[in-house]
Amino acid sequence: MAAASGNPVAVRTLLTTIMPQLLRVVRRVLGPNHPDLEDVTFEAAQAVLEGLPRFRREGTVRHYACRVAAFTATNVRRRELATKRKRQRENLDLDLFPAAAPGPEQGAETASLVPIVRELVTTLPQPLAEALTLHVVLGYTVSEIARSCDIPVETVRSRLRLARQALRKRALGHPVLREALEVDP
Amino acid sequence: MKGSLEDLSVRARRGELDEAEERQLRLLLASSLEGRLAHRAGCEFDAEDSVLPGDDALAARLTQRVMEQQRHSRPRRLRVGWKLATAAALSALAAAAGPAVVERVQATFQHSEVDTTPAVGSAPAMERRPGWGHDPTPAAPAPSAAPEPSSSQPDDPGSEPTPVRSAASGAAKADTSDVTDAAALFAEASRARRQGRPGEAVALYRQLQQRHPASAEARAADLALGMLYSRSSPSSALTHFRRYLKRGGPLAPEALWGQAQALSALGRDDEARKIYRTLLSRYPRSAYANAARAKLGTEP
Repeated sequence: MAAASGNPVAVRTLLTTIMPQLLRVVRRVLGPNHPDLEDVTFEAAQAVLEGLPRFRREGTVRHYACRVAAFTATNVRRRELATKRKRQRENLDLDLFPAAAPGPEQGAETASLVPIVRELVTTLPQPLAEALTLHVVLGYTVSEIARSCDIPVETVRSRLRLARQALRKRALGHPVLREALEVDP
Repeated sequence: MKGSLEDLSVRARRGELDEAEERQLRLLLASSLEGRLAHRAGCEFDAEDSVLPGDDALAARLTQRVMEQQRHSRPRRLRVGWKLATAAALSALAAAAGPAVVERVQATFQHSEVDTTPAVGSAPAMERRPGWGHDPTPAAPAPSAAPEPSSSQPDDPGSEPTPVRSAASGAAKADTSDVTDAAALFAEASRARRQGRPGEAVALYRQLQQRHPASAEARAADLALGMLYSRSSPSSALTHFRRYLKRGGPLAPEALWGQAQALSALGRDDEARKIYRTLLSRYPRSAYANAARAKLGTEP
């Protein structure tokens, strides 16, 4: 692959092709109004290029790039959560901390599962978070996830099952959302 | 495993299911609350997902940023390797031919290094370069490009003083500081724009265009000025969008869209429709294509 060897024309072609996808993935994981959307996408694109020589072609380049972007964005959310917890421990004024996206409570008020999934992606163990991100957030089939992560299909199913259980637990913890789900066909 | 709940859910989100599969999915969802939650969450993400205005520009800007980063990081590694190789060669020559030859080779090495690393001084500035987009090869402003006089802006008051550069600085140094100044001014102007200080942003963009008329940032500033003027003064916006298009740049779809919007605001709908058609024919896959089609379809 010419881009992996650093050919500038190939790198530019690759970036032009995948950049809208990376932007979309990062936006889905972080939320559309996240202040660092551009910088995180930039970070993701760099990570894609750096990892290209090690890309083993388990899936398509697009899937590889999207997975790297999802991983990068998830790490950003995890870092943000760690910072938030640290500040909580230090008893600082949380109002000073910029809220990147509405919290799960606000999301539940509008009966949306999106904020809950975004929070789960941050708090679940990495393998479960990755499966949830690829399946629910990005819309990958089980076999696509298996190919992309180079793991057995049954492992993917198992991870998804655990992630869905966590989703159920969190969703049913919110009365408004529970009510909305009961009327859902 | 096409019949599994997970895969049916994903394929439903992609609109790939036939009637039988849709029935099967409904049955599976009815029997699994967890599956229903995951499917619903996925659909909510899909509904949230849309191409936002400016995405093309953002993707182009990001591509440019990464390319610049690549360009400035790669030569550094190459230079180190090259220096090591040259040092080894010098050692070998020293052993073989004596000091006179070494001096000659060293002189050549120093000369070559200066010649092949024009971006050393400008690298940090380039890495920090923000903006709407840049020229595909903006390693340094083209010194041969004729600066466009500021009076070419019809809506330019021309009252801002143009600082005079020190004539004492050398050509190479002037080039480097030019890039830094243009990038810094552009960053400052963009910050003002993002933080809701349009007056300050306009002043800074104009200052940038007056000081560095040949820079890539000056070109991008036309687009930014067009957008800033689009509500308050569509005719000024039109001038800036047209000038951006005349000079050319990676954000031409944005500029065409802005131009059409400005024309509509001025009541020149026929001309606006013409621009929408141009946008569609030249950039049928841009983020503005669907919106342009909608405009052509709904407008009389």
